[in-house]
Amino acid sequence: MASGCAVSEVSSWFDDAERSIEPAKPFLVGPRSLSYGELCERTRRLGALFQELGLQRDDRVVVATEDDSAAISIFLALLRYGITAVVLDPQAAVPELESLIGAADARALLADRAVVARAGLGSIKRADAALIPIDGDRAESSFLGRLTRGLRGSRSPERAYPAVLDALAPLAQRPPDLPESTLAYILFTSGTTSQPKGVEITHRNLAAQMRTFVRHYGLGRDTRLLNVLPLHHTDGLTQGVTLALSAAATLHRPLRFRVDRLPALLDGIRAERVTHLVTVPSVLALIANLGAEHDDCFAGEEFRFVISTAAYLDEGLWRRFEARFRAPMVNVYGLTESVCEALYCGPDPETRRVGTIGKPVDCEARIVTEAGEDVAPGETGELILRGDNIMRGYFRMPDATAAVLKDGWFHTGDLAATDRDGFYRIVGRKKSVIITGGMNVYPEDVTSVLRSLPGVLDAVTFGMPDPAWGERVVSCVVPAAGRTLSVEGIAAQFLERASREKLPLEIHIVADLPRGPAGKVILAEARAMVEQRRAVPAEGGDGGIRERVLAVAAGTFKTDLRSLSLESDAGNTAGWSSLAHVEFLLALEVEFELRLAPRDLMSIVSLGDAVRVIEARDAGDRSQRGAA
Amino acid sequence: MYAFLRRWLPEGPATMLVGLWYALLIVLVLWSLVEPQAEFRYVKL
Amino acid sequence: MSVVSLSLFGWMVFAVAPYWALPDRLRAAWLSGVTFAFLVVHAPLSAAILLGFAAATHGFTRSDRVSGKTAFLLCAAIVLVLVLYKLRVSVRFTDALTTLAIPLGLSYYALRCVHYVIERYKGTLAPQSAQDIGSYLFFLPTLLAGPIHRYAPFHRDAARRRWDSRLFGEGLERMLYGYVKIAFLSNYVVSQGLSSLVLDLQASHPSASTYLSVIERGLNGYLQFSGYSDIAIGFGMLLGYRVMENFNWPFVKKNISEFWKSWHISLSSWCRDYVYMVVVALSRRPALAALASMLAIGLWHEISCRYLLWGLYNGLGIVAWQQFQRLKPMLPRIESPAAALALDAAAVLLTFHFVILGFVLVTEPTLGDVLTVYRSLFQGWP
Repeated sequence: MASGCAVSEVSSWFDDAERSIEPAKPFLVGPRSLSYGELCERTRRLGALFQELGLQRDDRVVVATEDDSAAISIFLALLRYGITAVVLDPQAAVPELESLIGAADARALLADRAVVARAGLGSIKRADAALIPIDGDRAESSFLGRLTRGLRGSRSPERAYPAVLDALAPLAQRPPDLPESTLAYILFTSGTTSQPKGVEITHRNLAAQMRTFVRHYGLGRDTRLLNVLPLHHTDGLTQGVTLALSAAATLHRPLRFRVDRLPALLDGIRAERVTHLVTVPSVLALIANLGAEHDDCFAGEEFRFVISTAAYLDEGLWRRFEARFRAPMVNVYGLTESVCEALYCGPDPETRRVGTIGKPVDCEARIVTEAGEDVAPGETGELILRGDNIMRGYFRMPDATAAVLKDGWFHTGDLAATDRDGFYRIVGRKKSVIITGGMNVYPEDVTSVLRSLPGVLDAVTFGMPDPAWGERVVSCVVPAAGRTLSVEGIAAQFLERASREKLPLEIHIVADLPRGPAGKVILAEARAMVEQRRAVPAEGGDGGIRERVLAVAAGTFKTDLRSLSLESDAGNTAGWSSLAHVEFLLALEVEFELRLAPRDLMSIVSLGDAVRVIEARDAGDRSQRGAA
Repeated sequence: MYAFLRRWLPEGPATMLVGLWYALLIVLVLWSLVEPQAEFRYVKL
Repeated sequence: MSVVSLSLFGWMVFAVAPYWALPDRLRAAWLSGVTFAFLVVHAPLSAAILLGFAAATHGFTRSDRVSGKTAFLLCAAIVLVLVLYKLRVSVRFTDALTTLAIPLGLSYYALRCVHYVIERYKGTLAPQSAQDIGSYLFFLPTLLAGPIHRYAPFHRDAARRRWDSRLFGEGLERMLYGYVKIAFLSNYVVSQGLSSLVLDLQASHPSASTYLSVIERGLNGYLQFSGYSDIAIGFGMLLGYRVMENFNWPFVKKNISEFWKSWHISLSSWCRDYVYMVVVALSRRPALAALASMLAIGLWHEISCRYLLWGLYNGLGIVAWQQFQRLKPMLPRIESPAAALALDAAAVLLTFHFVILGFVLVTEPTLGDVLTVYRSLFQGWP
């Protein structure tokens, strides 16, 4: 494309979808699927709706829905008509929604009825903004739901999505070309109480990122992308929705992610012939902990590779994962400000070196000192990026924009170093953000929520390394004089004010915080304090149930303790015969001085089961003692 | 069977051998079905 | 119903072809429907019983936590139906091996229902929908003669199902091997060839002849039943399922415990989980539990004295082996590899002969005939 004509390439994705893709081809596969034909039709109907609402190019529209099919249809239609989408987390706490909707200053809002009611959207939106509740396409999938909605719809005067579209004729005309400077979307990267920062991504940014993805990953029409990351994050939105559209591929979002649904998600990889899985390291860690029956979940001949995004990927996990599942891993690095990614480790051998974030693709990267000078190879400095995929700026925040965008170079705040062959490695962070399970959490946000809770005098929040989450959010809370606090109570109150992803995984109630001369909390000392509290077992020295179970098993099965794990069972452990199984159970009863009920005895199949059963018994005993 | 043969043989001969092997087995089954059978049953159906 | 029959083959084609033409969400329903139709045509009584079992299994295990009482009563009711039919069979027939009178597949699906109920009781399975339970119980490939496959892997295969030409090819190959085992090797080579040798030798070498006839029964038992399993497993593959294996080279095992882990695996593992473990959980006595599960395996075939004896015989074999395991550390260690190999070979031969001598108990019409065979085996040599 000639750079001079400056026409958005985004339109061409839709033109292709309408002209050259078979209408029946699935675009979205999920609880409510969408074919390309349906997507195109719906986009044009939404175009008519936008026209009716009087929306213009670069107007902002807020979208907040649990329904993927609705969120994706509306987002893409906004993209096609040059209106700026602001996708918000429908589960966000009310103060967060208030703050973000206030900052977005949108001309229209489309949100789930539940969100409208919970957050009182009618009163917090701009006075002249249109509010269209979303009924959720889910109802449409059942015959009864459709029937009753049909009956209701004919009487109800209120306009709700998707019923509102029925009355509208799809726009017949192809929308005019858009300038590539059109703002595609704004994604907010921080919330609660601090000033929300909205990253502005233009059509030019987005198109550049999609070109890189499609070419570098080698995607095409036969690509089936599995990505269940949230749509209010760029990893779900751009490395999922727009990527599938720009590659004329199919996006699979079969379910909303929950740990207990992981096996079902993996079963779908084979059944649906998925070619690429986009996910975050904490999910990869969960997959790596699943039983041997999942060994072949990436074994389909069409599966290409796993894309690990949004957080630091532990090298040990990386190697274990690739060795066990025989699925290549591509580790990518990027930020909301670089649309999604900037550096890629794999799939091509030129950029791949395990343990690194590879090399920049289609953009430039440098590592600089505080003064902005390049560091020598091997030395640490701040990673800065330049390219078509770098954001225009932060929405209505010129100062914040100027602080990170200097001469076209975006300052990531991440500390990096290169090795001899030019592979980049992240070694630390300048800013305080905690990346936990792929989510960015600002410790200041968490601390200020904690401080606002009744009975809390002071609090501090920081990240600590975690094998599954990359980093975990840890908070220390000091109760006000004369108040007693419980971790459960704090957590419950916290969730009324902020979203779950910000909730600290560990809350320690402490008498005081270590402070320096200037009154600032000394984080290193606070961390040491937490380490120390962790080392002391919670109660009566019974923290070692796991170790004791393993030791009993090693003794009974006459096998090496190191070869045992919680996944060990009769199938993978030498010496675990049915006779030895009984001996093991009886030895457990002796070791823990208890008598197991028949149900418990029968349900112990693996060492993990044994630990679970004994822990449950232990907890039961303790609560009985407490009651007595 | 095919995967087993492919460890030693190129595609063509392996396919041919597998084809012959299956053909032989099918003939054996059909032939023994035509012959009067002494039926033995392990389980009652 | 014969496994090697044009009628069954026709049902297979009828089940498989539309199955892959249908959209995925309708496949399970289609297969359950075909299976139900098959039962209605060939064994309407069994169709009614299975329908009742399925309804009870689903209906009484719907709550999140199934009580011990519910589980016990439900399993007892299912087993009672099975036992009543088994009793009727053994009273009415002299040679139950070649006669059919028990409702088609009852011996297998009753155990599947018990498996499901007990897993619900243990809490390892969440409550499942009626459709999922139906597709598990009305599964044509394993309906006739097992394997007694388990719910969780079956359900997982359904979630992973897709058209897979490699698996389909593997399934066809597997079925062919099953047909070869039954029609050619068992019904032709062993039943015709070996038995004519047995007849020829009867006059001149009566003991050798008896010995060969004992081997013949062992081989036939294995070829027939593992052939059925091959066809069932292969048929399962045609539908995208990997059903559990039922045999794993049982005649080359070094002890009786290993033999029972590789012979009719789906039944022996069922007895391990739902007889052995239940008895252990209640009594904490492994020897008693081993005996109980061997009796259950025996009586599952037929409720009669000879199967009781056969179960006891194998149960005592396992108990003896367990006791020997305790003595083993006190025996001198064998260092030479040649001696170890010879000992292994002897162990395999001992196990093989223990097993086939056991078969005599259940293949002779009366106990007197059994004794005649044993006498001939041990006395008649020149």
